[in-house]
Amino acid sequence: MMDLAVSRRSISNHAIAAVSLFSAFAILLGGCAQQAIRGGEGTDNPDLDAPALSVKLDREDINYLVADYLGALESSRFWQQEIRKRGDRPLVAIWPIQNATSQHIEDQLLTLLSSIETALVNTGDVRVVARSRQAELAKEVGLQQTSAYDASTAREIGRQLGVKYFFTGKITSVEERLNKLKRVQYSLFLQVIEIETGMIEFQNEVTRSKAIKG
Amino acid sequence: MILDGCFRRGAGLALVAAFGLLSGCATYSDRIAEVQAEASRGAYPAALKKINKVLGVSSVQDLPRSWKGDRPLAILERAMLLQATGEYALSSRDMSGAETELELLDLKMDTPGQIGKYIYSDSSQDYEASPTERMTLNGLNLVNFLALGDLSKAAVEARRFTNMRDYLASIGLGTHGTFGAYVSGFVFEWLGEGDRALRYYEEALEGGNLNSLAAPIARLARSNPYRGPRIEASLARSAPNATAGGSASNSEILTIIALGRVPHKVPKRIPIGVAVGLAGTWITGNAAILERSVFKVVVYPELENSGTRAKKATLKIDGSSVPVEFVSHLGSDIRKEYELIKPRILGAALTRMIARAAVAEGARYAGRQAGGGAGALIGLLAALAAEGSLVALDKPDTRSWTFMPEQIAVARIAVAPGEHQVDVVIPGVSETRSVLVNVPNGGFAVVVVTVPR
Repeated sequence: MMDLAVSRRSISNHAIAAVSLFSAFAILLGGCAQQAIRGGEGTDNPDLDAPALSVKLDREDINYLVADYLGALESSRFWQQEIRKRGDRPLVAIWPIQNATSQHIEDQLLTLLSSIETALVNTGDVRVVARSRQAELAKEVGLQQTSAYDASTAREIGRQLGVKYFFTGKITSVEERLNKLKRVQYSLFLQVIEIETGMIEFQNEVTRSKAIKG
Repeated sequence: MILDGCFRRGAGLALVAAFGLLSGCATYSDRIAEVQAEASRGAYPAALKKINKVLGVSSVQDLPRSWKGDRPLAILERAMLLQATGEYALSSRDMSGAETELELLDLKMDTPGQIGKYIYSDSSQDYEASPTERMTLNGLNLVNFLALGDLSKAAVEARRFTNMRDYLASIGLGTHGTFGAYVSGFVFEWLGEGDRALRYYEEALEGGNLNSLAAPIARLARSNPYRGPRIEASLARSAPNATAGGSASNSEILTIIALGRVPHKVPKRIPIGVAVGLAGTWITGNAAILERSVFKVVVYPELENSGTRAKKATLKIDGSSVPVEFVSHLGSDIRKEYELIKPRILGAALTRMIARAAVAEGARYAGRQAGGGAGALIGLLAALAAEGSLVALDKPDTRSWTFMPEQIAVARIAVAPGEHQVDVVIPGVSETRSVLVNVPNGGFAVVVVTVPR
């Protein structure tokens, strides 16, 4: 009787071990399956966008950079005196932002540019030339609209379109690494240039740092 | 007793299963051999099909679902094959992707790999690229962007190259990156940052004089203040021909020719005694235990020449010969790098052998205890089984970026704006690449010829 009990217990233990092993494999394999998640406001994962996933710029960074820039721009003497007070809604254009960083953030800069464009249109204080029209015109007059602001090209395009100001800028980065930490410090410089005179009417610098830890 | 039996059977089954699973795993050099064979005969599309199979993807458009293990490395191999076929955008996508993964690996603590490497092999870890590989990656990706005519993205790669070089120097792994510095200088020269270009050219000249830089340096020095000792020497050399620095044309063609493949690692056996002598102080544990081991050889990854036949190139532009200058011999750099770490590699292999021998000793002892009169025999069999299984599981780490070019040559020539015929002949493999380029006024064209044969 005793032996039988031990034997039953052993078989039962064996079965439990086998089931546990199978479950462990199932969990392991199940862990490999990919799962898509919806995130953002109004979803089950409202904070999905909050964590930084790399040292590149993400939407949170872009929103911050644009908000800081526009805050400084709208409260500047230039905007208050030359734009808002005159009330003639001058035509402005946006020149591509030069990527002078060590990161391939060209797509992020396009988003940044579009966000600035949206914000400028929404101020109602200026009229903004569509960037597609700008590119078309540059092509028509045989000019290359590179990401580095070029005064003579800007003047030519500006004249053709009747643009008074160009919004342009450059983003730079300082990258450092120590042991398992890598940090990238971004500085975004944005300017408003009066096309005819080449004068910088407004300039702002906004910074953002990203790091990744091993 | 029944439980003990279950455990014994379980352990036995586990060992057999593990043996069955892992002994079937080929080394990296085994898995990549067919890709190399196809590339060596110039069948790049066939080589791409084979590497896609290694990656577990069906097309060059696809990236692997997982970047674990050797995949970043296999992606780098594919990137070079894509460059060889002129698919620069896909090549840059692969290189950038692999670089991101390699960087994340650098930054993270690879705990599972650290545990695995003691008992089994260094190849149980995720792949970490060598300093030469890391430095070359950015230079070769920069070339992709130049071929695509995208100076802005090429400049990003130039900055990444500099950051990597600075980081490696800061941890005592300084390595000169002549090629990376050369092409970075070219990028900033054309972006109008003359001073920065001169600083890169100063670095490029660290590897020796480069005639193709004499004219650009003389031209840049007229309006930029930077002077390093090698820039000074270059200016002194070109002083009698100062007019050479001011070519009649402000348009030029840069031809970049990447030839062959660097030496790669293959498994090699040497007697334990020889290995102990070579490994010196890099062995951890008591090597005396190896005297009782039945295995008297150690298997380690040895560097072997890749059998490169594409060693020279001739260049003609509009039918006229243009001198080609070698700027990097990456094959030599890889060999130097390997020779420096070879004692460490052997030390790691011996340390793993010691760990295995210790396991065998444990099995021998357990066998003796359990075997009664036949204890000694059971102990011996247990020790043999344990050590034999672990030896079978041990794969030497033969991973490296095998499609990295053995040599890189450049040619720079000022040309009149307009169309030009560029012909590159690689005599060793009877391969000719002909390209018609349109050079803008005051601009440049870059021709990239990659021949991994």
